[in-house]
Amino acid sequence: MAATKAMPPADELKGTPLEHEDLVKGKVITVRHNPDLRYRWAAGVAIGRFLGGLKEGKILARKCEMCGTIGVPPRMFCEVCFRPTDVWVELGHTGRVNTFSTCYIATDATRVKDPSFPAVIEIDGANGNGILHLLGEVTKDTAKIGMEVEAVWKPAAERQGLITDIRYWRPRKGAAPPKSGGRSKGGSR
Amino acid sequence: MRERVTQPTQMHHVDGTFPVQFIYTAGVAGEVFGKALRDKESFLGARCDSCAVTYVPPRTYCERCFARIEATRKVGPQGEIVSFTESHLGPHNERLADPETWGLIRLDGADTVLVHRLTAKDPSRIAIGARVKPIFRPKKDRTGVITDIESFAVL
Repeated sequence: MAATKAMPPADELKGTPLEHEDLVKGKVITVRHNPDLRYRWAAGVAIGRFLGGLKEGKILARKCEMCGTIGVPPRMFCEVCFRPTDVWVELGHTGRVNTFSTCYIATDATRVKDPSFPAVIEIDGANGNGILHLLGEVTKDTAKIGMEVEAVWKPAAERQGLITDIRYWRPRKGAAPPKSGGRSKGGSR
Repeated sequence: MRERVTQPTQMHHVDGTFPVQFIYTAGVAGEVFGKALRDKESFLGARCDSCAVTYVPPRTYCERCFARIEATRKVGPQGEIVSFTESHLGPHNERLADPETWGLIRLDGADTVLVHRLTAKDPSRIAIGARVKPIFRPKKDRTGVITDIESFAVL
């Protein structure tokens, strides 16, 4: 006969721990499910045009005529004035390193031997605004905050309208070395 | 001036996928149920004596009084149709060439129902109250899940 028991004491309710082997060796019944999840992310008006600009080798920004802020990546709305931004402006391909990190893990969190250098690049002419990107042609000893950098683009035929159309930013030849510890000029957010 | 989208087909978009993988386990009661199904072609329910309810598939706790119960009560293998419907669409909303009949089956001795596919040599015999029996897959194809049963066939 089936038994009906009272609730067991709390220390009995410790669950049923399983090891990885229990699953892969079929010790317990399992159902595997690999859902086919796909997305299509629409970039919107501002970022869409920004990405379209990258495909053409241009860095496009959006200017608010009221406060003068030049937003990059562009927004259709000024975050300072709470009003629509006014005009598109094209920026140059140079900037300064606002901050960077020496990164020893890949996007899947595995360890890598050669570090990458994710950095915030203040793009020249955008009053301190900038984008998150990668530094290249640097080492952990040569990468510096305040360093002047320039964009290294993919060849036009390989550009897809993605932020990766810029391969990385490298130290600008002939630029003066940054003052140690100094924040780059601009920065009026 | 705000810009308006006039050519949606040219809107910039990025396609991607989510690589998500699941391994579901059957749980304590589901494990007992699945192994009995796979190895012995038998159905085990969980009985709560104080509520006089037999749950199939089994639970570890009675849903009414929260008492702990175990999957030890043999039920079925035959049962009867409680309700049924004819499905013309598959799981991805695709139209099926051959419509399938799905029903709620109460196994003999059980108080709850199972959802499963219904078959009959003469489809007009699929009816509420009709007696059914499980058609099992060959033993080598069974994995301890409800689809180890191909269908419930009208007797």
